[in-house]
Amino acid sequence: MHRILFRWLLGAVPVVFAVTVLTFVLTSLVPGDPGRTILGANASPAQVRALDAQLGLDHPLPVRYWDWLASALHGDLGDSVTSGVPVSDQLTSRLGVTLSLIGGAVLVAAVAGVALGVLSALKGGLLGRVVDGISLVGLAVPNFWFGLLLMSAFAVRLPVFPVSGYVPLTDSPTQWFESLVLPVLTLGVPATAPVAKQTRDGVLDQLGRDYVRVLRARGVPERSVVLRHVLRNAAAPIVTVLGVVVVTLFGGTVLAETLFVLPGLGGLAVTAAQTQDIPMVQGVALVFTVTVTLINLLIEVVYTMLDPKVRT
Amino acid sequence: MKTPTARRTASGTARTHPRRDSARRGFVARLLRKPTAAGSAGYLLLVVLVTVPAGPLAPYSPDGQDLTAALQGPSGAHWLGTGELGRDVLSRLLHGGQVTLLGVVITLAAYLLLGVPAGMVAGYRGGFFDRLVLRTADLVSAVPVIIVLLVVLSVFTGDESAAMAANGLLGAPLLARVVRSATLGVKEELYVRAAVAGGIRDRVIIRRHVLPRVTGVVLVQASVYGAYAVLLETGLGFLGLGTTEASWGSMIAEASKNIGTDPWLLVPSGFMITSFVLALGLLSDGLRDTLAERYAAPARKPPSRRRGGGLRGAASQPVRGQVPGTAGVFEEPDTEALLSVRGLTVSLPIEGTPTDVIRDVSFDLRAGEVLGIVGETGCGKTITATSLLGMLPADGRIASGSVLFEGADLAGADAATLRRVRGRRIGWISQDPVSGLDPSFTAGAQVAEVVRLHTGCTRKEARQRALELFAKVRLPDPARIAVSYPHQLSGGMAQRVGIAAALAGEPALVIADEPTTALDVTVQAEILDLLRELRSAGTSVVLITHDWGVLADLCDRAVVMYAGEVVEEAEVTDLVTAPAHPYTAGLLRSDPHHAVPGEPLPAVEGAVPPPPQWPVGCHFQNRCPRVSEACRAKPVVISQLAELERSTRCIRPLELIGGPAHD
Amino acid sequence: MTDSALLQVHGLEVTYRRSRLRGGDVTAVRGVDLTVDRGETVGLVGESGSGKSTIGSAVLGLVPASRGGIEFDGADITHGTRADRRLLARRMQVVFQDPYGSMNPAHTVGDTLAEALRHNLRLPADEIQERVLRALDDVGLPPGAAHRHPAAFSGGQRQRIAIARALVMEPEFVVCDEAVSALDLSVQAQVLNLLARLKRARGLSYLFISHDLAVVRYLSDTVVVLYAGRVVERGPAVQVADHPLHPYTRALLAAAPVPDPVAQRRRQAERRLAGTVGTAAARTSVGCAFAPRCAFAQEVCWSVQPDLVAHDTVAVACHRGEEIAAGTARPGRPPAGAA
Repeated sequence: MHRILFRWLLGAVPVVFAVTVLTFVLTSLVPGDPGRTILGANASPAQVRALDAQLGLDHPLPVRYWDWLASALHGDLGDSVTSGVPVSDQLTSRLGVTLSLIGGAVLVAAVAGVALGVLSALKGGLLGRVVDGISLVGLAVPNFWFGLLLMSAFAVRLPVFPVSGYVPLTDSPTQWFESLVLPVLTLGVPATAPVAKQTRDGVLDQLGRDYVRVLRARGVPERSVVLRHVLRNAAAPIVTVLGVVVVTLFGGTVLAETLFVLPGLGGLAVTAAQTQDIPMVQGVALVFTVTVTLINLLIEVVYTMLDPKVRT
Repeated sequence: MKTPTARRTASGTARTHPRRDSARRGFVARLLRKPTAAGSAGYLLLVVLVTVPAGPLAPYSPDGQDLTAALQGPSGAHWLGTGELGRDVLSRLLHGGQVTLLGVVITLAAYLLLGVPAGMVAGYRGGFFDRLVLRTADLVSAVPVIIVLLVVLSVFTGDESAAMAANGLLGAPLLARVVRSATLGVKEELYVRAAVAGGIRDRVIIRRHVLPRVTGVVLVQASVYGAYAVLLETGLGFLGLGTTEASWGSMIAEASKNIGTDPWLLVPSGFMITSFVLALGLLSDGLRDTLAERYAAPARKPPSRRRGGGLRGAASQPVRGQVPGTAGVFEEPDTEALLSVRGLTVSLPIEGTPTDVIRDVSFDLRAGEVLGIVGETGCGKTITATSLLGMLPADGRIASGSVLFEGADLAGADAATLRRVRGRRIGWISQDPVSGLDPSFTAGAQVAEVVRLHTGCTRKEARQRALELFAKVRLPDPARIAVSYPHQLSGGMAQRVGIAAALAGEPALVIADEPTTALDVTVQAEILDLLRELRSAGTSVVLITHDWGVLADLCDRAVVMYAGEVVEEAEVTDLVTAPAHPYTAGLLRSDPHHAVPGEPLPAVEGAVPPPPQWPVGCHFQNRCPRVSEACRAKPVVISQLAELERSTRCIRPLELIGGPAHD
Repeated sequence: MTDSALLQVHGLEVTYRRSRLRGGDVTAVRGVDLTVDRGETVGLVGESGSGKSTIGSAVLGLVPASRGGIEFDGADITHGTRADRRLLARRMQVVFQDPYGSMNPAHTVGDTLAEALRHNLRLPADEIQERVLRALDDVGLPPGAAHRHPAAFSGGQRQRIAIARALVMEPEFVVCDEAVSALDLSVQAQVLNLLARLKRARGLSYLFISHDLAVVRYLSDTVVVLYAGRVVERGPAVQVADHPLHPYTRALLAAAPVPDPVAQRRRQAERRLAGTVGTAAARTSVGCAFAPRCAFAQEVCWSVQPDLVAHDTVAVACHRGEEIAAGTARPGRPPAGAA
């Protein structure tokens, strides 16, 4: 376990470092003057210079990065240029929404994907081709368009779920659930495709292995062969695919949250990018990256638990 | 030596003529022969051809307004209807395609230009650069791409080209990783090692062996990443972060604003994106399949070729229905025997045609006896063994015959009956000891599972019993082995674990399919000792082997199989000292143990014919030094040799009296 | 050093680099001396892990030697450049074990055979054509085979093609790395005959690597037995195979079953008396690697690495070689781990 943690740190620290440096360098290229942007066109050049100095913008880039990093490690990510609210406050209040959305979508993708994959591997024939077809289309449909179809069908035509908006879990669990159903399906259903495909390929591959033949020859019932042995051996690559799915889902939240007007990080990122709210963009990038590396750690741990060759 | 070889290969040339043509076809031609791949490529081409010249082609200007006709469905004037401000949907789709295509081109340019060279250099040269590429790929795969693009777009406001180029750069290390492993894979192929040993320069090896292989992989990756780029670009357009011109993504944003009043608006743009991405996906599948066909590792056995060309009719009588009646020695099952097989015929689909792969196999096994089934690859030994347990490959079936075991016919038994026999009455020992074990469970857990299955005892008792079994198969440290995983065991130890599992149900019969072929000879000797102990303990064994030495070491009786048929059946001592069938005699003399250095080995020329090419009459006729016209005329039945407890399927058996038969 | 020596290997050591996570570096060959004379066939015998294939790869320049040297016809080729290899390939060729993996499936047989002629020798097209057809004829395949892909051939035919690929270069020396091991008995005999015939007709020298002592005995003049990366016995093939001196060679011979039930029963009894035990026993780092499995092992065997010492025509690396040769050796003490 220590080895995994060590290896993960070895990977995660450079990733976080690289992403923050990259955002910092890129944002330093922004044309125009942040002081001017904040104060407006009517401010005098002296006022602008004073504000720039206050924001530390008169220092060279590495110094600014160092200052930012030092305060970021203390939880201070600066204030939003547009609203003046501390970036960290915004991020913490919105992280929950994004995580519930992603958690729900991963759950849908994992459960439906594995079930479909196993079914299609065992039954083959028509069902196998249907799963193949769904996988292909699932990969091809843009999720924002799929979300619109869902919205059009289950919120506009049949008003079962709300068109948009978000109710916190603490206010009303049922409404919280209802407000998340369509966004979760929007992200989760297309994400089922890669999971189902990997499950199917993995299970088929395992079914062709020698040990399966031997288990059958020893009289082990087919149920046990598939559920206990085959699925167990097919699991590790499925977990890897789930890890990739999670990373892409972070991208998906940007679209889904905008579409369903959810107060999450993705929507925040879009607004920040549109308004050139640099501290906010940096903050969102940091939180996304850190979360993704934490998820990768989780994947690594699960993977190690599944594969004795890695474990021993 | 000349004649049989020449005959065989001459017919081979004629047979494989169609294959040669198809193999010569180029990669593209093979790809386009696949309907879905060809259709997809055609569709993509069509989209490119109508969007690039969108200016002159589109019926309206993309921003042309007609406020009287806003948000209307399809009509004669507007084939795909109109959007906000009465703008023509078709015209906007065509123009919007340019934006998306440009984005894809920019992404792929950055992706390929950086990824391919980096991957090839990393794979072929290795070293520091290789590690650098791998580390970068690890790093990039943990970065949420869209966040970086948002940063880029917040800096270069509205500059979609910058975002798509950044997207390509972020994907390049991942492509490099794939290219690297493809390159590495080719580099370790034996044929590349042979080329290196042949003094071929790196440059030439890369051009001849590495590039063609990597090109396919790159095409697959590029089409997948292109599809991803389409989704990303339209997503940015949807968010309003991209260009302000008409684009597929912004058209969906427009539709989302009017979802209550004009749901139709969702259809054209959504269909456009989905179909485009789908076509790219199908194309990449087609590319992958084509690649797989081209570089597929050939089957270990000679390929069974389609019957065709000028040889149809002559060489390929319909195989089914040709089964000769069982005659002579093997008429009725021997009810005294533990296992009595009669006229067993199994058919498998070969290239779609159900074909007999073993035919009229009959033998008996008495309790406490070890029976060997001996023959070369492709003679049907393993099929015979697996069909005893009803474990034929998918689509295989027992066409006729019976397998009488402890009074029940297993050939026609249902799944439940077979399961009760498997493991409990008949144990199985597999050929490859390590891969015969489930890699995810410890050796102890796997044996305990079988114990529990057959005795219904508690987990604790099962674990205890597993340890006893490990001691019984002479594993040196049962407690340590029990907690080991298969990959931690040597081949010999893994085979002992396999034997322990086969014994867990205390079966009356154990079938061992080449149990020592994968092992070193000193380990083989120990496993053979172990099997011999089994026999002394009263367990019967069916041993499949190609090794005369193993047969002589362990077996009481043996059946010799050739091309799906039993050609001889006898006590082992009789068989090796005085073989009756010319194949048995030939195979025995090919054994290098008898070889005299400096003198040619008495080899049997030619090779075992695959099932679709079995001749009428004796299957051995084309390799037999004693062949006569009668051998080719009609199927030969197996018959008992006068007064002896042995039988052979030959109309001109070798002399049996007077020592070793030399023709 | 004799004039007749074509290949000379001295003190060869090969270490495969492996990360510490995967158990650290592995030394596959530890100080091997070997000579192949002109026209001679030297058989390398051993089980998995003996280092026999690694020696072949080192001779071919496919793996670097970490110590020691390799001389071919008097020239040092231990650390040859690719340009040196290019010249050397005209004289030294290889036939690999796996007839299914040793040819690019996308190329025709003719293309595979012509590769080295075109890109190494740079011969004109008509000469390439002529040599390819001659090589195919030499291995008993029809000219039409050149136009077909490897997938159209059986394992035995492919191994003939692999031999033809070596022959087109008209080499003096061929490394046969388990060249007949994957083949069935009747086909193996065909290919062995082919190799023997080519050797006679062209005066070839072979380094014949195999795990099968019977095959090596048939084809080789000299046999070299390897255990754990070291030579344990070397001598005339028939002499070593019929009257082995080293306990490991004896174990190897006793373990290989012969196709005769009567002889086999006698051998079983002999093998039990010899008392060799499993492969699992840990090797000592200082003494004889075979000591943990050896019935004759004494104290000295566990602490001192035996040198290769000549007894008449045969050289044996065993502290008790003399006694065994004289027939006076008695088993030392029961080997560790014996039941």
